[in-house]
Amino acid sequence: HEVIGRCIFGQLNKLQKCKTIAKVTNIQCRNISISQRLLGVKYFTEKHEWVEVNGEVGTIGISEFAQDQLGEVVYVQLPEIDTELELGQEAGVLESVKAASEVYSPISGVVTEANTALEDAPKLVNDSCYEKGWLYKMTIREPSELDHLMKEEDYLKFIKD
Amino acid sequence: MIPLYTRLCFRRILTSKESFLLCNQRYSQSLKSNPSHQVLVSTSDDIYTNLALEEWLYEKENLTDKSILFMWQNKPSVVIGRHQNPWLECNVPRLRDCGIDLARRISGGGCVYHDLGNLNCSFLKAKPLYNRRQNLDLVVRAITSRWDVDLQVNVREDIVLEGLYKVSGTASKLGKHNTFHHFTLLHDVNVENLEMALESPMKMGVQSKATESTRSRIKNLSECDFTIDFMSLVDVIGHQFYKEAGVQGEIEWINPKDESVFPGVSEIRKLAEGWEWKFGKTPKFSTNRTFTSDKLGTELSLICNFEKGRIHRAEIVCDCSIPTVKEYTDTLQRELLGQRLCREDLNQVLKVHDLSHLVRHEQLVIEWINQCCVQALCTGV
Repeated sequence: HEVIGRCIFGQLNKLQKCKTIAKVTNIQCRNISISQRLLGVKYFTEKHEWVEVNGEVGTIGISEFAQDQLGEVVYVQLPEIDTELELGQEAGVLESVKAASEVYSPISGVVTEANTALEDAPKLVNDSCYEKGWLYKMTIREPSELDHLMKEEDYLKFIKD
Repeated sequence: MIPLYTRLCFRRILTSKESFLLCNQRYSQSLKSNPSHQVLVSTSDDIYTNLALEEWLYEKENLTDKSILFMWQNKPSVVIGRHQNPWLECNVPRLRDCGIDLARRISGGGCVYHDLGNLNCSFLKAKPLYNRRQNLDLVVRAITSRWDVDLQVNVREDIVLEGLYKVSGTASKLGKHNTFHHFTLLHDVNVENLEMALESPMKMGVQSKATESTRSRIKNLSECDFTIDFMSLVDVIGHQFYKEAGVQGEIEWINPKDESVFPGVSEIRKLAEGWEWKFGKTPKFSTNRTFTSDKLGTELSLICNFEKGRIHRAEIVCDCSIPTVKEYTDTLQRELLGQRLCREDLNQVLKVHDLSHLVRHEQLVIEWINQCCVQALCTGV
């Protein structure tokens, strides 16, 4: 009985702790949803580009759907650093065995970095389009432009149609 | 019996003459009314002009309710894909010497040789209608409807003759709303010139990230039937395009230089012809060569990195310990930096200096180093 009692007591203690943790987590979650743009949330365009916001910098890439449509990427032409891009302007070209496809900038800003790993391994765009296959980074001149883009759930619905 | 070769020559002359005459004939106004399908044929045989018009149509035409088939032929030229390296894909100095134009497309794909024995077809359509297979099948159906040839489209989307010979190379460009799919069709191309033009002297010791071509065995369609030529192909393919669309239409001959119909096309052509586009857009590459002279008892190592068609870094090391030779290689290294990989720029640096003040052996070594550099840089200085 003592053992069972200790066990139950132990479990109750754990539950108590969990409840406290849950309370703390709840608060953190609320904070997360308010400052969503400060964390790695992806926004998608109808042309299948995505932009992930991290503070003042946006990372740009193409979606799973896009890389699948393209076929194996054999060459990536990226914008040069310090290039000023407008929303919808041609930022680069992805050449696959099927075609040379233009990449359009999802937002306006200045290019700060290009993914040079793609020079030696263009296929990263196919194999890891959301992570290692990112294309370039840029400043976010007009944060309000992000409001016109789709969140992941909406984008997934969009491509289904 | 007139030999086949002579018959083909006569046919080639006739084709050129007909093209020239038609240039002055009906210039359709239908570009202003908005038909759902159009077949346009260029009256120019200049590669830059034709590529410029194709680009103009791709950038400016509203293809929401319209599909265009644009056909043309060029006098001898070599056309490389958007991300290719011309020095590795063809014989750049030889092309210059022979007056063969070099052009870079905006679409991807490999290197092709054009002359008047090659027909270019470009299908311009809105993005939802982009379908390469459909276009290639249409052309095969058109040709096989008139001539008895064994023509098929293979898994690589090449048009293949008799199951063996490639008669077509395909490439495409996808934009926001518009797309084009273009391909060559070999009906009577000069194979000897093709092989000479596409043989690069610079392949040895080169590291490159550029897209490469896939070489295949080729054959001309006219070898199966000598009546297959530019005019008859334009006719049969053009009419098949209208037929399969279920519309009536005429094949329209157009002047691709006409600014009143295609405003801004000359500007596109100017850029297409420029060194910066043709050569400056080459992806980074490098060359690493070693030369040995037993006679002079020396070895030379030459490493060059190229960016945007220019020498970004040069390392020239000769194992000869003579100070004047060392001075020469150091100067050469410095002066080559930033030079474009072209005859005009390199001639200045690699010209033979006055070496009379040096002893014979030194003169020979320096001359030899100079020759090695010319050979490694392959611009035909």
